[in-house]
Amino acid sequence: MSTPEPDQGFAEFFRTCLPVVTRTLKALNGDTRVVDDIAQDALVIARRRWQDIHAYDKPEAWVLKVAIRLMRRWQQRQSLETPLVAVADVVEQVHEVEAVHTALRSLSPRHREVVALHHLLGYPVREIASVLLVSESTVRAHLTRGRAELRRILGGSDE
Amino acid sequence: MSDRLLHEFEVDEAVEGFYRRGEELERTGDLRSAAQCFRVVADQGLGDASVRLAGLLFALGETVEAQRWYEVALADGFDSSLVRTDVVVRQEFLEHAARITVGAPTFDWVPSAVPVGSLEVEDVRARTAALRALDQRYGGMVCHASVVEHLARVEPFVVVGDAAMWTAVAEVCELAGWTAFDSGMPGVAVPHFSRALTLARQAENESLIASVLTRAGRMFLHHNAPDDALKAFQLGFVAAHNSWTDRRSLSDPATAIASLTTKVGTYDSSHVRAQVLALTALARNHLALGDAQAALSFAAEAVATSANLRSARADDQLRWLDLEARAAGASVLVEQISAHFARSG
Repeated sequence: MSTPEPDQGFAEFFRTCLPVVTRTLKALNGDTRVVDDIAQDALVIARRRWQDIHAYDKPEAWVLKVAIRLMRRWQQRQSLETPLVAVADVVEQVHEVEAVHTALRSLSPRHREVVALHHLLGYPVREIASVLLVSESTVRAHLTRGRAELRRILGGSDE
Repeated sequence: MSDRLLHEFEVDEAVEGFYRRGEELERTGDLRSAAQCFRVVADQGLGDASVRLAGLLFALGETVEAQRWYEVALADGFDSSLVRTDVVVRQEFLEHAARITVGAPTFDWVPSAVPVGSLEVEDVRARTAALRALDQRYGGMVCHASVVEHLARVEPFVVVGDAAMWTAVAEVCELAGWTAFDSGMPGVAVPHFSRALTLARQAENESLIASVLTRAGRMFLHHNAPDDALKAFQLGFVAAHNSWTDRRSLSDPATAIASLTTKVGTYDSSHVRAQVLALTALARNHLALGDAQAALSFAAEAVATSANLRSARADDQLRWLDLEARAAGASVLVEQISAHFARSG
């Protein structure tokens, strides 16, 4: 990333997009070191494709799609999912947002992706379907179940 | 590092292209090609391709491979309810068929389009007959798309049509299901058969119900589900048994009476036409056996029940009874029927 400014507006995009992608990936995956790497990798690719994607309505959604796939590839290489329960145990529930994130990470990965994109980023069903490469009916089904599960978890931790 | 990244990205983007093409092919009804696309994506573990592939393979009757991808989808965290397995599809069909056979009202869908222009029942039947002839000669794979097109045109008319139209459209649904089966798409056939049953019940056409159930049974048998096939055949047999009212000829009055007597007791007050048809058929069959007294009491009941019914089919039955009563010299019976036609005009 040391070449002189080749891509108009990319630096600005990078600054706003990186925290969003990182935050979303962290909600999906407990391992923060890996998340930082993946978010940066996704933006490396975004830069190479900046000619195409800068004109998109929401280039950030494109980057997220790439990042989520990269994370999936990484998980497949590890051939194991993040140990969810262990993560939930080590995270201190300091305030409400953190509690939500912790609860989110205890959802199944598929439910987690959908709920995170919808509730953390406010993406509509159609966009989530496009980012995750799933049908809209799958998104709706997972959103319903994920929410119910989340409500159950958060409701339980209040008492 | 960057090279590997870029390579992975290019692969993923190409795979996404397969996903989009699969979606498009599924939309156009080319399920086999769609499955080929989704197979690549599912193998790459991207998105919900395993879910979609499993669903398509079940619809195509490829149950062994379907089951494998279904398990992949479950292991990947997708809900089992997202995939309709062949077992679930058949089970729901048989439940629907059982409700249809006992005569429960089950209008469970509405056409997606509204009727455009006007449509003659005769024209619907003529085109269906032509397509059926082509299916028999050239096979379902050639005809299925044309049948589906025909269905899309005529289906909206079920909301404005009468019993004759319901029967005509039910026959198109039946042919759509039959050609889907012949094209190797049993999962696509089932909903067509379900709708054929609903419409045939709406039209009180027992023999069509029996025909659809027999076809569904043959399909289940072909796809190695003999237990479900047997259930479909048994329900079809009940419907065939019920179809005694639909007959014009009186070849076996004793059997008909036995069948009709059990049947007539199952109708509640909402099935007026079916009740009138059964009562009139009972009168005709008793008359055929020479029991004019029993015929008179059934005819009287039929006429009383039909006070608010306007049905050409029921009127035909009463006319046939009238002809037979005249021939048998049963004058009280003839008067009884004349009273019905005098009243209904």
